[in-house]
Amino acid sequence: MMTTRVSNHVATGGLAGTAFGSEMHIAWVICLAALLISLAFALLRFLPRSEV
Amino acid sequence: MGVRIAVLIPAHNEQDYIAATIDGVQAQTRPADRIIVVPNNCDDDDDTAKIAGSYDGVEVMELHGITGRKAGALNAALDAVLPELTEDDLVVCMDADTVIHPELLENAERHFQGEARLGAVSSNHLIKRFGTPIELLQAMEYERDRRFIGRRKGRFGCMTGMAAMYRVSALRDVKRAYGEVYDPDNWTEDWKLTIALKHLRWTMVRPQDCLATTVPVSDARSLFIQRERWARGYIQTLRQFGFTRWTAIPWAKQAGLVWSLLSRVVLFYLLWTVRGHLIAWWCLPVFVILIADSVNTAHKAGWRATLVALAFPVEMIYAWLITAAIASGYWKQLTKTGKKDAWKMVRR
Repeated sequence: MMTTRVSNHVATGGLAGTAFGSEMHIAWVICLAALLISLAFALLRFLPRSEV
Repeated sequence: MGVRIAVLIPAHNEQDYIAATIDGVQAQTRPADRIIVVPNNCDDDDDTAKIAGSYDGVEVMELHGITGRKAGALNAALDAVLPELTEDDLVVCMDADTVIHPELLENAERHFQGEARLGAVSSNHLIKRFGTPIELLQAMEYERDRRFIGRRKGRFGCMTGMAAMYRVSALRDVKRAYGEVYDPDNWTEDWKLTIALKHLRWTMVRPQDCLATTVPVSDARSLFIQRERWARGYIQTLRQFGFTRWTAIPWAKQAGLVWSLLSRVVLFYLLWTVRGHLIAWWCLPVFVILIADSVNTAHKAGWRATLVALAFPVEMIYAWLITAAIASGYWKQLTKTGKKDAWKMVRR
């Protein structure tokens, strides 16, 4: 279960149990994964490395 | 006889930029042995040839009615120049709106010494004109590209059409294997040449001591057209060569593009659906890191770039624009639509 406000809203509100709700979860997972991947690459770019 | 360097500058209606370009070549610490400007299908009222002809030591090879745009002009110039050069001589092919930094020829020539299979040395590009937001955003993008390539010791990327130096034997190899050095039917002849050289087992490098300043496109529409064209050439070349040892990584990068496109569409969907509920508390430190990364990688492009990097959503919009242009370019190329899209001059 996602712990953000929106996923709680989706899980417990009027949209729960509908196809729309599951789409929302997939969308959240994709967005979260994209954010984490961006974060990982950003952290890698902070590593000192010489430019040749 | 020592190594000779010939500089070829194809130019289509470049009267506003050609003088600075020639000045840059003539100001080199290692002088070029030949400088040849190739005005290619210029309009009657364009003075590119006249301006180039006013310089001492500059040859003008004016071409009218030639097909194949820049690739056609370069092929014609190479056909004239290559027979007079030896295998280890060097040829620089560069754009008429690009100013090479004073040590470029000297440094590039040095990279070739003792590296018998080094076929090409490309410049890295800077943008120093910040008249519009689009120009500034391109300057940041180019700076990131330079940094990225530098951190991989220059062993990455395209031998760009903006300015690259080639070993004559490598160019002859390409001509023997593929008929022409530059493919006039390819949307991005420099990328095609890069991949062709790799398949002929030539190595290439984009070192940090070879820099050039180029002119950016000035508005969003021109940027979209330019990137659409680059995308078409990218996928066109990969399809021409198929899946090989040398195209495996570029092909794999397409998965990254698909992911990027998917995640952006999904983000739009979420923004549209949940609006103000999208931001959660844990987003804050993540975005702080992302903004810090944005500043860290672009600050060398100047204080304006640092300010834009701090305004994170501005760059997100730019990234969406680029992604949309790439997706559109791929779509046109793969579905063979957009055939009527002539090669358009973009606004600079």
